[in-house]
Amino acid sequence: MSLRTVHRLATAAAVLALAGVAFVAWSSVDPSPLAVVVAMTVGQSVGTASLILLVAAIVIDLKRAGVLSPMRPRRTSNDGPHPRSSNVRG
Amino acid sequence: MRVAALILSAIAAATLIGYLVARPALSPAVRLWLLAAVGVFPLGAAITGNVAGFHVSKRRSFCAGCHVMEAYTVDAGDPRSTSLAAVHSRNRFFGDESCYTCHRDYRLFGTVTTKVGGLRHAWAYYVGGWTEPLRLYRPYANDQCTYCHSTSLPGFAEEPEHVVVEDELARGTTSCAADGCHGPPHPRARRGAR
Repeated sequence: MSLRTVHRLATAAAVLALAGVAFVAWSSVDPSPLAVVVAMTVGQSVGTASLILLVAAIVIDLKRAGVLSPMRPRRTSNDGPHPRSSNVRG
Repeated sequence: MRVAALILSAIAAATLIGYLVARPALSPAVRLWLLAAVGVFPLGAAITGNVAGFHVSKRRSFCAGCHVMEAYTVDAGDPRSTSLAAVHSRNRFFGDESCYTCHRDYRLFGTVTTKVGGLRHAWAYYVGGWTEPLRLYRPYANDQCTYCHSTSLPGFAEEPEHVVVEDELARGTTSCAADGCHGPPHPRARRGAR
């Protein structure tokens, strides 16, 4: 997953959030049955999809940065040979 | 709440449009900007908008938004009308929300089932269609009257009519709002009453 994917997901999330916010604003300005029902169904769904995309972008971004990778102890040349590389035979 | 929803929507829209126009590189500051623009502000707008929507959808003026309801809501708001709906609509505690107060479901999760019923109404109005005279989906439950009008007060049992139909009222086979009792609740209900 590249930075480009994160950008695309963030942009898609922003577009969907904008649409969801537009529905909320419409129902606030004109609280008619159609506006309120659409805001509370379509608007909510679009907003939820936007949040899911944002979370996906954050997870991918954190994985890219190595924050979500499993922690491994760093080995240096002073640690000696790796146990598996020894020639000891049982 | 409506004002709060509008303000949060405006802030969210401004920050979102700003991001979409500028398309900046993902620096730590831009990441925070995105979190606020896509996460915090729209979520705030959605929560306040939902609360405002729930409150608005309880008002009689909201029900009157569908023209098929106008005959009922005009009568309910008529100060000279003596119909059951009009009398209840003059109550200063819930008069503006009389449709919701008298027709909501008072059982457990009643708020949810009432809202789902409202969605069904909206679907019928905008998509599915309806036939007149309008009918309730199911007979009007006496529980909706007795939620406020207690049947355990002494005055209730002192009415001979109540004593005669006591069991039927409890079973729901006789309605409080039936013709000859306290109904019909709406003038138009005379033509198509159950």
